[in-house]
Amino acid sequence: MAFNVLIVDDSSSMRAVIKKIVTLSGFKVDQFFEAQNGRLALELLSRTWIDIVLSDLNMPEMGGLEMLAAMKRDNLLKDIPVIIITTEGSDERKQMVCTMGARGFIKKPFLPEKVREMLYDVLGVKDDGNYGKDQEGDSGSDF
Amino acid sequence: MMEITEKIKKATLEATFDVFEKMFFIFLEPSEDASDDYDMETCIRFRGGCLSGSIRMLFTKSLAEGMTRNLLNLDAAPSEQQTADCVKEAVNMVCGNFLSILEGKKVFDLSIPEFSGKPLKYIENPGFHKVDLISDEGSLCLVIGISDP
Repeated sequence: MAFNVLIVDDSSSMRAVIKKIVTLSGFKVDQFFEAQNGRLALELLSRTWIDIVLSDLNMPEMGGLEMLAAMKRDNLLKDIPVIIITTEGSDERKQMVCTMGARGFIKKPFLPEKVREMLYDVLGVKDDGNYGKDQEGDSGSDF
Repeated sequence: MMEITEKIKKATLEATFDVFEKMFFIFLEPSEDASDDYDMETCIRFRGGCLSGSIRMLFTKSLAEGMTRNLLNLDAAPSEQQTADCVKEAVNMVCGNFLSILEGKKVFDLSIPEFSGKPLKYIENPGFHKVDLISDEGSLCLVIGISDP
């Protein structure tokens, strides 16, 4: 099984970096989707199957917290796991984000390993170092 | 006052080194005779509790382009848009990291980083803390304006 990943960040550089890290981690991705803010992410989520959202908090127009709250109010979107990737690393902020329903929290600057671990953890995929590598006819056996 | 200045300077250095080493693979060090001729600047404002202020980061072009190349793993020179985007992300990360070190338990609101071309020169002002840094790629100046903590 491969996943559809949505990256929400107003910085195109950061979206590119996260995309690269996820790809290099060996995590099996079907398609990457990108949005520059929460509002555009919600639009995309309403018409596209997304398995996991990686989102910044501080974005123009609609930030990550507002997007998360809107997702939780929507029966079709409420169960999609959201991992927040942000510079705002206070304990209180982390707690607030988790209380609102985010499944993970990664503080920038981050090491690629942290993103990888969090993805595997949130999606319940076993990270044995082989997941994502081409295994003919056996690509889903690590679940 | 001296104690506060030292605390801010220490938090600034720790936050900046962490961001630049982890995200941009650039190793900075403090400098007494860094450039005062910078090519671009980015600024972010923050507020939370009784603390508010701003961080300005001034970059030489060579440093900003080096950061962007490293972050995006580019062989060619980055575009102006890529460079602007990269330095805005840098100030965002440095600010978040700086506030975590200074007041780790408080929640802060950060503004969206702003970018501008040729910056105004820094004029000594007791309300601001200035830190000069250099690397093999170029120079960086941080100007931190902060309300009395």
